[in-house]
Amino acid sequence: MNIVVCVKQVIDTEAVIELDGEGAVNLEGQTLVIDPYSEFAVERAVQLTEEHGGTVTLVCLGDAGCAAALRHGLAMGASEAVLLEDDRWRERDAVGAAAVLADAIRPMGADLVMGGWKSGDTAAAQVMGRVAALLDLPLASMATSCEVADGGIRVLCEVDDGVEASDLPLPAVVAAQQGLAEPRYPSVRDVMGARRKKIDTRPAVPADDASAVVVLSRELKPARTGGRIVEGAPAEAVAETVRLLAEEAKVL
Amino acid sequence: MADMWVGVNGAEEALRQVNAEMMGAARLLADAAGAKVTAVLYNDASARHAEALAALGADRVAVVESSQDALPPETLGRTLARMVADAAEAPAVVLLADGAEARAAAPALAQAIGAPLFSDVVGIEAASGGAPVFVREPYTAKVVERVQAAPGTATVVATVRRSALAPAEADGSRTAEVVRVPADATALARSIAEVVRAASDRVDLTEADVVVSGGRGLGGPEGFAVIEALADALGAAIGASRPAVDNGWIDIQYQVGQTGKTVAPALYIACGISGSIQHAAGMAASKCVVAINKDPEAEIFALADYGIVADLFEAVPLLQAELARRA
Amino acid sequence: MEEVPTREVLWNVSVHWVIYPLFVLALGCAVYFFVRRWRLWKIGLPEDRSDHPKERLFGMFRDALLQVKVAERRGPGFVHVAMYTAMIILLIATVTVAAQADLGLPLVQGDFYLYFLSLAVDIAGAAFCVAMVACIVRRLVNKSLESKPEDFIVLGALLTIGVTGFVLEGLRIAGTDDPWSAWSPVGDLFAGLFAGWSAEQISALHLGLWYFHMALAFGLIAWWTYCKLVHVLLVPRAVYSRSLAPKGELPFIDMEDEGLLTMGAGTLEELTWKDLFDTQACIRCNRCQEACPAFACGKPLSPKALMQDLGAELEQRGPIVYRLQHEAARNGEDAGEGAEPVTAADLVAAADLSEAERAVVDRTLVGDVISPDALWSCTTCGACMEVCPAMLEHVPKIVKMRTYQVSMESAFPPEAQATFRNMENNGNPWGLGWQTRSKWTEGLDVPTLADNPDAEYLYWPGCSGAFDTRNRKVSAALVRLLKEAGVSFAILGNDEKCCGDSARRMGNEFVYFMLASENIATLDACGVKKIIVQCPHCYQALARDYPQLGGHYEVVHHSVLLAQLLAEGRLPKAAERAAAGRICVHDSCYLGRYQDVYDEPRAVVRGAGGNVVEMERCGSHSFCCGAGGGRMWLEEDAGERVNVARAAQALATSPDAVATSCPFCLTMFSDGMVSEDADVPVRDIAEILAGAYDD
Repeated sequence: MNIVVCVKQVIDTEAVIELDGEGAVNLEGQTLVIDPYSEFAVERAVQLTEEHGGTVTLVCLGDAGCAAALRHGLAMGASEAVLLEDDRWRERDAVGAAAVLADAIRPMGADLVMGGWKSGDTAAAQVMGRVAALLDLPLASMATSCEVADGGIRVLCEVDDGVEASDLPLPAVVAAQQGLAEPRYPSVRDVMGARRKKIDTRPAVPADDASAVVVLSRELKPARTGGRIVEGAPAEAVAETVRLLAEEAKVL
Repeated sequence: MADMWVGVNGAEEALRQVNAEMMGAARLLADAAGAKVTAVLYNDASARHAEALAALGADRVAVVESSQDALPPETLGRTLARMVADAAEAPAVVLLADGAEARAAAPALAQAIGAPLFSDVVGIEAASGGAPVFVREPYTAKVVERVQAAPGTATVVATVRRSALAPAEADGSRTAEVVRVPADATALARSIAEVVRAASDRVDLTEADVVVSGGRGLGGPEGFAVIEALADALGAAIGASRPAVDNGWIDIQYQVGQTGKTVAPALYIACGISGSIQHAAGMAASKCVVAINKDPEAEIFALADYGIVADLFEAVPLLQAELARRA
Repeated sequence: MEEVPTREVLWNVSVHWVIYPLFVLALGCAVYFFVRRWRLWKIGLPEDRSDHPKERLFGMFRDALLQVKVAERRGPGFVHVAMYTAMIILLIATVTVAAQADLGLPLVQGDFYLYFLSLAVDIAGAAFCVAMVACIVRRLVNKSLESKPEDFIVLGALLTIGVTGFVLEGLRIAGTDDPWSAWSPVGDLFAGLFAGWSAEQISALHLGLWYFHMALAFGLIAWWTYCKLVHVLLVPRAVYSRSLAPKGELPFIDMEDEGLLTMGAGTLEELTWKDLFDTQACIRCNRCQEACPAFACGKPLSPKALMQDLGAELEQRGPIVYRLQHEAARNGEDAGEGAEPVTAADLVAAADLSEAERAVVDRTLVGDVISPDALWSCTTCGACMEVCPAMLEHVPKIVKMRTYQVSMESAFPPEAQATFRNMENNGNPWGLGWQTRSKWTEGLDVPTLADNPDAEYLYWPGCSGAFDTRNRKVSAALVRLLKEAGVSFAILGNDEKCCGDSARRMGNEFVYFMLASENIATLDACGVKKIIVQCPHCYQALARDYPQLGGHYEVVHHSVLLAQLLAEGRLPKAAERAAAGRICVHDSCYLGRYQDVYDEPRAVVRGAGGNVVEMERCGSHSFCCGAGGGRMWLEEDAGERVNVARAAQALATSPDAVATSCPFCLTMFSDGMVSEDADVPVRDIAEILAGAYDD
């Protein structure tokens, strides 16, 4: 089984985000990691090839620094990695990213195309869906399980009120949700081995340089401060807390 | 100007609140632009919700007719794409409620009609004379971003986070034109084998939107009864701190913390938890934290947005009652 | 003329010369078995343990020959010293008799005969026999010793040799009507048994028993290096070859070495010769097991069992690997230079072995020989090494095995993964955003090195001191005291990263290396020379681990600095403080046993007016809080919780408060107190001292 996994590099989810004067996210000093959702996909892909044979090819749209995310995926057990190099990839919207990825994947003859259903940073939550549409392949969205069955795959996908099991013919696209697989911790042996593998770097050829999206502003959301005690007797404090949850925090 | 469309899943007996919220935003945009609002009602062949949607501000209700009780997201996406293509004038905006269904349908729809997609939006503003502005919270809600489609874009698709927008006020005197459109008939590429509804089972801890967690303050396994009652009322997952697990009051799979699970729900309610860093490491990414502890010095209060200093056995049932009253 | 006191040597024994060929034969057996053992540890990696020979000899003299370390343990230690001394006396006596009999030296006479060869030897012999009986009884009673048949055979044989010696002496006294018999009181007692026996009967029994006595002795010599008695040779050598490195130092692994094939110990032969030697020198005395907090709390780890299991496996695997290594060395010589280096695993994997041998070498070190649960139960507290009379090194073996497991096999308790990831991505074990590290200083006015580049000290609060709400209070207290005393200090702020101690001792050398190199680069770029730490684990890393990577700093633990400031009178207000009650001081393993700092934390507590109370296990025998060796980041599901056990020990002293000087101890103790439903406050020594300034 030949599996292509789309991998994104993101800022660590715990990072404190800073913006530059123009509202762009400041990357200096930030820890860049493989996107957790990409990682679920890589892990399951590697497991599938361990179970059934085949190869895992990673595809990443990014700059030279994104090779680190690919190296991580290689250390996890992927066989090959392709970096679609574009220094301005962060400015590109999901429409453009999906197009570049789909163009790269199309000639690869993949049985399965995997990736995260969203990314931990920009959370555009659409690239895999668009890739599926561009490649005209069935999509398993928010998959929490993916097994090979009867020449196709049996997936479990989150639906709004539960879990849906469905059978997809191959080739297909699987967008990973948390729970698809628990990513492994590569050993030093694997990390060293990954360092020796060559990353196939190609210039990304965007079909259209114009972005479909305009960012009007970016602001930092004030971080949670904590430490606020809602005063009063239990009944009053509880009533006030519920009001605050509904009206201030808007989480109800 | 072009119309505002709202996709409404009518499968449930009562319309979900998010539909009123989407209608409210669509109405706002339509009024600002002098346009109309179309509610695309699906999974409701009998159109029982048409009047309610009219009351919420729909000028037109397009009822999707299908032999299926529930449209698969692919079919929903294709149906909407065809409707957009067939419309005399493409809509300016198509709103869908964020959730698993929209997460599958919206990208396909957006790709099919060549539209940008803004997912999980928490605010919609009518920009004077321009395209609508969408507010998102990327970078795990650390950044607030205002975005709009590039000039010249015909249609924008957006998925809307529930509870984020002001709902439309229902006005029973309003009426809407009801039209019927057939659902897309293309066969699905995949076959759905089984759907397991989660209603009976509790939500998975790591993916839950709301987590109710108990610690040593529960005093014993029986203490989890109040936690469970609140969790059930909220549709929340149950969590626990390490002392509760160590004492054997609850299974280790519920443990939140350094050596347990890491959670990042929208709301985390910590009951009788002292809040050591070992626990904090597992829940610090929660968007909003409520802490109930009788010890005013408990470290959990430093992490909590709202702290209630009270005996949890008194406060948690009160909280449950108050939430029920409000719902 | 007064007769010179003496006795007839070898009375009644005619052809005694046969004992010499028999002795040579027995010695031959001993040498043969010894060489077999020697081959076992030869398969290990080389390691130089011959530096500082004077220091090594002195230690061997003190702790092996004079048995100082053995005698530290009352009871069995005393019995051992008694049998050891008696054995030496008996040995001298035997040699003396032989020298007179066969070299004609007139030694068995005069005062030397009376005081030494008669009286002293009799007392020694009696002491020896009593010691043997005591040992046998102890082994019968104390089931935790897990005695083997071998133990009883050795003790029984030695006792028999002793008793038959006295019977022989009694027979000689009775047969020769020895006028000096009063100088051999025990022999004289035995002589009484044969009163009324005829000369022939006495002579016959004596001759038979003499040969039996000799045969048993020679049998024991032949068996000597095969059985546990080999410790007579191995323990002194083990003490000589003990580690002289600073305590807790781990072998340096050069992560930048392109040719690095493997890390840690995945097979026995990837341990050093000394590690393997240790498994042979271990005499199962049980002290380590009794000292081990993990064992005491019902975890699946016993340091004694670890040594013994490794030793038993070495006896199986060792001979096969020894042969393969020799064949490879010969082939290597034939092939000449440029042969590809191979790992131990490769060598064994490629070998042509019989099925039985294959079954032996395919057993995995961790898994088949040492259970992973045992490996991960160790808190690296070092209590086992502290009490070991042979100064064997248990903890480094465990860390080496962990290093292989984590680095090469990625096999470790699953909950450790988050900690490793967090350290990699955010430089702290909890994974909190690295940019929030200096948040603890808000409102405290703590200068950074950028603000105060000329500060004398860098203050290194560590991850706990910076991120943990509870331990932040310790940092605040320490900052307060440093300011009161006018100490010039500054912090790194967000540039500080986890010191890497937990990572390294959990076996993640890679993450340790990343953290350590970045910290060293930061420290060196700032020109840091002196560092104040409040975490003994940070101390271990900064002071003892970093020099291997080129980072050399003068590191001082806050207990030492505060004690010094008190002594210099720079914290005058503390000295005026009224008594702060009974304060039970807990010794952190990495401060006490690892750094030998015991007095300073107590001096600080006293300086704050506290009345220091001690737990039963304190000082160098302190009982771990349960967090060391990365245990802080692991689940603890087997047996009793170590921190709860330790909290109970502290509560037994009825303290008003418990004093800690390590953030992990503080966390573990606080949790333990809650588990014990006790509301005794647990406070860091800095908080206790700073309390004086809050009044």
